[in-house]
Amino acid sequence: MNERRRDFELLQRFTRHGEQAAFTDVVRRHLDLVFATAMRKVEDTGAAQEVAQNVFAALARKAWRFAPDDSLPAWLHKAALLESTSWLRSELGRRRREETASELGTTMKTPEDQPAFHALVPLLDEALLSLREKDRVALLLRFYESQSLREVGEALGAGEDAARKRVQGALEKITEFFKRRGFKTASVAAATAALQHTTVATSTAMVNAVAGVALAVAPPALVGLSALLARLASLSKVQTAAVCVALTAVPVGWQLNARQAAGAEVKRLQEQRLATQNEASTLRAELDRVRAEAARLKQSVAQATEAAARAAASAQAFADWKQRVRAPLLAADYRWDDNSLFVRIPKSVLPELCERSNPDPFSPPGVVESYARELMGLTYAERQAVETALQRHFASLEEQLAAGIRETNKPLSGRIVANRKFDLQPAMKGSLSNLLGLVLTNVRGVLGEERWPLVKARLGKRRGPVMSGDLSSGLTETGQSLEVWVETNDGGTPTMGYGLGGAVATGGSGALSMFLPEGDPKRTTGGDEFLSSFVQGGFLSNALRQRAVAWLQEQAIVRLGEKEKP
Amino acid sequence: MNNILLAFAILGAGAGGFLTTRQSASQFQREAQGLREAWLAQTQQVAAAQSEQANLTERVRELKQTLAQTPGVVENALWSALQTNRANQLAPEMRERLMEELGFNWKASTDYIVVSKETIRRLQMDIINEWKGELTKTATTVFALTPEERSQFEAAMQRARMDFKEWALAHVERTGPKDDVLVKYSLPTDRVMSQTLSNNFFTALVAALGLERAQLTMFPSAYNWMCQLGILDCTPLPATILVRRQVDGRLKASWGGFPPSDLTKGASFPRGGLRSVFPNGWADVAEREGFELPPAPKKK
Repeated sequence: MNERRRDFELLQRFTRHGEQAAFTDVVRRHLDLVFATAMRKVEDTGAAQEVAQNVFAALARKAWRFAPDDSLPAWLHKAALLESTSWLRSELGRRRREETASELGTTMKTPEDQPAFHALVPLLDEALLSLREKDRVALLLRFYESQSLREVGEALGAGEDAARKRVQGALEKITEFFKRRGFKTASVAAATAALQHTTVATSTAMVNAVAGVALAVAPPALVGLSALLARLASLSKVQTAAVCVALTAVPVGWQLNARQAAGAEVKRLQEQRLATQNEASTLRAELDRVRAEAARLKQSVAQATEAAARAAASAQAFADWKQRVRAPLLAADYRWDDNSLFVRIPKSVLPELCERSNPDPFSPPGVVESYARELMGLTYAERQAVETALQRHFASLEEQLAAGIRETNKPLSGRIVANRKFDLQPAMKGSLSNLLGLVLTNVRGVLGEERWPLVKARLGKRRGPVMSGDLSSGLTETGQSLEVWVETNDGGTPTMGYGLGGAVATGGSGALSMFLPEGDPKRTTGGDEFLSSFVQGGFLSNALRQRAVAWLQEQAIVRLGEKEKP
Repeated sequence: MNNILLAFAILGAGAGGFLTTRQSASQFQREAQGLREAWLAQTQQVAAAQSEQANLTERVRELKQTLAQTPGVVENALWSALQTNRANQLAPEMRERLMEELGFNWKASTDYIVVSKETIRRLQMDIINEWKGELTKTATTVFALTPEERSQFEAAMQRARMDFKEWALAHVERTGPKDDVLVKYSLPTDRVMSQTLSNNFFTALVAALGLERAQLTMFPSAYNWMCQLGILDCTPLPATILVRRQVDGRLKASWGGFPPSDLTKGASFPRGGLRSVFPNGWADVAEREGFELPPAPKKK
């Protein structure tokens, strides 16, 4: 086993388990070294023994600090030197030195006997201390603990040859030390001799005495924190570093892990928060939209409800009003009511009422007058049917009239540059009779026999304007003519004139430009209304008017339109 | 000893590192805690907002359903027109709709029909039989006059006629004979008299029939009757009759700007105020002036 390891284990057994035997072994292994060192310094056996006792007592107290890599001989050597120096400084040491000066010759060889190395002895420990620890330990083990080169090599973690070389090198180094201090004759041999001749062999009794004194002052076995420290101290530097690194790495790692986890958590939370913010933002927008829609719908529902309630109230009010209106009109004791909109008329007076009324019941192009509708009690459908029959009748009548229109020209005179006369020929009595018979049959079919006398009474009464209640036209019997012409005024501008003959004779003139097509910039207003009031009043055939207007439009285009521009 | 220092150094460095990392970790943890609390608060807000959104969405659905179930309101234009306008001024098509609503048509009754007063107004029917000086049966029926109302109406007519006759007798002017003019009668235009008598007559009508029927009977029928009677001056020509005796002894009558015509029995006497003075026409004039009316020529 490695000697250094052996020392460490012995100290471990002593510090951990309080094995005094282990400590005694340590004293036994190294007392020679300590005692020899002390002897060189204090040069007194008793003092050296006291120094040795103090050194081992210190070792007993500080044994827990030792690590496997620490060199116990090196530490003991240094401790012995320090303790010896301390002793020498004390008064007791000084007196003791004086008293025992004469006794030195009994333990050390005289300078006369060994003059070559004797001078080196006082500087020997200083020389040893100047060496590096491994070199010093090598010499201490080789010379003061009498170990073989193999054992020295094991203690230093090397082989025998390496130990030899190291011992030799260390000897050379201290030789050089001596030479630097003025010992020109110093040599390796002298240094070796100084080392060999300063060794001592202590007895077992001294070992036991020193160990006993040291153990007496040594602390008990270490426990708790001390044990931990001792355990720590017992580790090598690498182990200590590893343990400490491990001890610190765990919490630091744990904290780093916690930091990393917290950082990841922060990042995750930030992302979550951002996502939540986005979601909240989207949700807020959606909420605003839904709120607005809800408000709008609420308002709509309120309005609809209010409108429905209003409509219901209105409908009820209307129903009540109708009831109030109907009741007196349908009552057996009917009386005129100024507040009513309606009057009740016995059907018995209706024929006379219809006959003596002024307005005509029907008018072109097929309208049942409102008074006639009420007097005949027509429903909406009946009125529609009658008006359809009338419209068909008046359209057929107009067609017949249009077919009978004859166009002629008159010789030009004065400023007239073009003229055209449209003659409406009297309709054939036969065809007129057919038309009239057809419409009367249709109207009679709608009205029924009970109401037919009301119309019949009116149709038998010939008065009013043409194309009136007799459903034929005065024009169909008398004929009608419409003459239109174009003349130039003083400025040379073409104008138009017209003359209406027949039952209603009239005439006039106007601008020809009013007959220009729509969109023409020169077009003036009035063309659309030309003689239209006569048509609406039944004084002029629409077919006759349309033919005349068409001729005037042609003239307007020829004389005023774009084609005539240079 | 070196081990202890090494241990202290490493442990010190480790402690420093530990404290640094612990501080950093604590800072991160505090930040994380703050973020977590903020996130939780936000999450709660989002949850609250989602809950509100769900409630609102449900509310919107209910409102839509309610709105869909609310019966469509059709504006009754007719009822609105009846309320906002004067009901007696409804357009013809609205009146037709109203008649339909009320169910007034030919089949509503076998004995009568119901018509609007606007129709009565439009008919402009003659309600006075001028020759008999009374209301027509049709007018009596249409206006639903009671016998008492009819009596009052005819009494008002009679009173107007008498008042005018009294005025006419007092104001008729006679000239002649002069040259070939045998006699000339004329009545002056008196706006005060016209206004007074017509007002009195209309007031009597209103008292008898009420304002509405008074207006319906007054215009145009009673108005025309007063024109023909002479109470109202409705013609630009003066109410004058003139009788000339020609050299051959024949009598010529003229009035109103018309060319003279032979005066014989049965010759037409002008309408107007002088008829109140001479109810029997030329016969009364001849009797009063002492000449005889020649017989009417025989028709060929």
